[in-house]
Amino acid sequence: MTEIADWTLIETADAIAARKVSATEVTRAALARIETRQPTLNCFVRVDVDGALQQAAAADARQARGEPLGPLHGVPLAHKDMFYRPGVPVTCGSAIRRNFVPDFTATVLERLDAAGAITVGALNMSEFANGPTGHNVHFGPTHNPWNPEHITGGSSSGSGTAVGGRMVYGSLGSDTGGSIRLPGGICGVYGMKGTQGRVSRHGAMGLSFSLDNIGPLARTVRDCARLMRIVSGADANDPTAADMAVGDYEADLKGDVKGLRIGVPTNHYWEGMSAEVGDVLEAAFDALSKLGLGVTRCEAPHHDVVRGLGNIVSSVEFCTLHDDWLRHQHDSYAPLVRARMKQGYAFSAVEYLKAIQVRPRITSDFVNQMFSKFDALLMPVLRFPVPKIVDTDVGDSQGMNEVLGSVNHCTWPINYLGLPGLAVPAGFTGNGLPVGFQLVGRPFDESLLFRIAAAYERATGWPERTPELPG
Amino acid sequence: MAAQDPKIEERLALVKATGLSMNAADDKRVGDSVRASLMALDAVASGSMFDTEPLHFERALKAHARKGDA
Repeated sequence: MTEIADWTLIETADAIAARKVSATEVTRAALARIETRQPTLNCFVRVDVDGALQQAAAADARQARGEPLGPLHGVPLAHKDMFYRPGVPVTCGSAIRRNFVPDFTATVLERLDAAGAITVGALNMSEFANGPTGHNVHFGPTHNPWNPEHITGGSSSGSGTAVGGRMVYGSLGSDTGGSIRLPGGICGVYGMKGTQGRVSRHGAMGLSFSLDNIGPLARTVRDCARLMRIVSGADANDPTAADMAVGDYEADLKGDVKGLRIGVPTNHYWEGMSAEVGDVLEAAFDALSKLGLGVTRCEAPHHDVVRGLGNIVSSVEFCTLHDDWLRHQHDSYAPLVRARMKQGYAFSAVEYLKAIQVRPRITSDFVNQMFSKFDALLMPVLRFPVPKIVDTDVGDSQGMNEVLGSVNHCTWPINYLGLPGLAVPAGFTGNGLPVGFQLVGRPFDESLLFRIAAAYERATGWPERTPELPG
Repeated sequence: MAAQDPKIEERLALVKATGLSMNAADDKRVGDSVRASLMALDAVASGSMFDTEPLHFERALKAHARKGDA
């Protein structure tokens, strides 16, 4: 019989609602799993055993009283350590904020609370969400659940591992250049970065005003769709949150995909593609074709410039947020983070604003060219097998930019374009590590991405494979 | 070498003016990154931008949403 901790989020919520298991039993199962696997995976920076059990007991009491249950009633989650809650320390993966305690609650946490979720702790991450591999000099690297010698991807490293390692049923991460989709694809789970503005950022640590996105990681498409629907939508506390209607992503999963057109950009995304990852992706194309989707190679416009433009925007905005600490607490940053930040000072205000000003035109042209011909685009998450932690521990060495740039090569352009991207598990390479692809859609078309991923999941069953770990 | 390009030297001077320490690796890394980024900017934002509209990225995203999403 499958252990409780190995159930999906939906199975767990359904079992609690049907009184087959209590929120307390589920939470105890998650905590036991965390206790066993944390020493190997290092994905938690804090586990709140007492608080989680108190939340679970309260959830059971509400159910016993016959109160209405939310769609996440009694389901244990944990999130990247960057979402604010009064009285709870939030480190942002840093030394500088090691003792920071906020006094208000992030909108996304309020929405998960209202849906009945239990928070069991906080997850490791790259320092200030800066870094695509999952290294962290202050809290140690997070380890991949499929092989702990390998990276998780970052910056939502703990989220990828805690979900992929079957310790919690879902997690929130953030994505400024791939930080949800990389750990999603690299840890064998789903990760949704919505359209820019789709999810409120109130009470979430910022990295880059223009490029930051909050979103869920989960084991199945339906799990991810449920979480995304709950956290999406307008927010009076965040004027940048889009006032666009949020679809019923779960209901839409059953929709037909036959006849949908998938574009596969071969420029940029296919450059330097390893044969092994390429073979896995070719198999994914075949699976999609058998489902009746048309898969066509194409050329993605503007990819000679989007990395550079995104670099100007992100580095200047990061410097803006960190300027004071960088000048006065310079040594509190990891060398890698410090080194990455410095370039932001090299751009002028005029250059930064030009990079912002041309963004609507570039995105509009990209959407017009691509989505007049295709319903969605498919790109790799990573072009090579998941590397080892030791091989990507570059610090602030001369080759830092090349190594980090190779890791976020495929995810980075989508943030500047502001489009939704969903990381989808697609198989494994010979070293036993996952391969993922990302589906990218027109603005606010998250529902279609979930629908295509659901059809692919039904056809391939990749999420049914589980990593071999203690406990 | 990045440090031999006068335009890049100007940019490195901006970073150094903040008081942050810069070593040879920083010089090379910042120089390479700035050069590539400014090349991208020149490719799409050369010439006058006088007649461009005010900032409206959010509006552009909404305009491209599938009909019925709004």
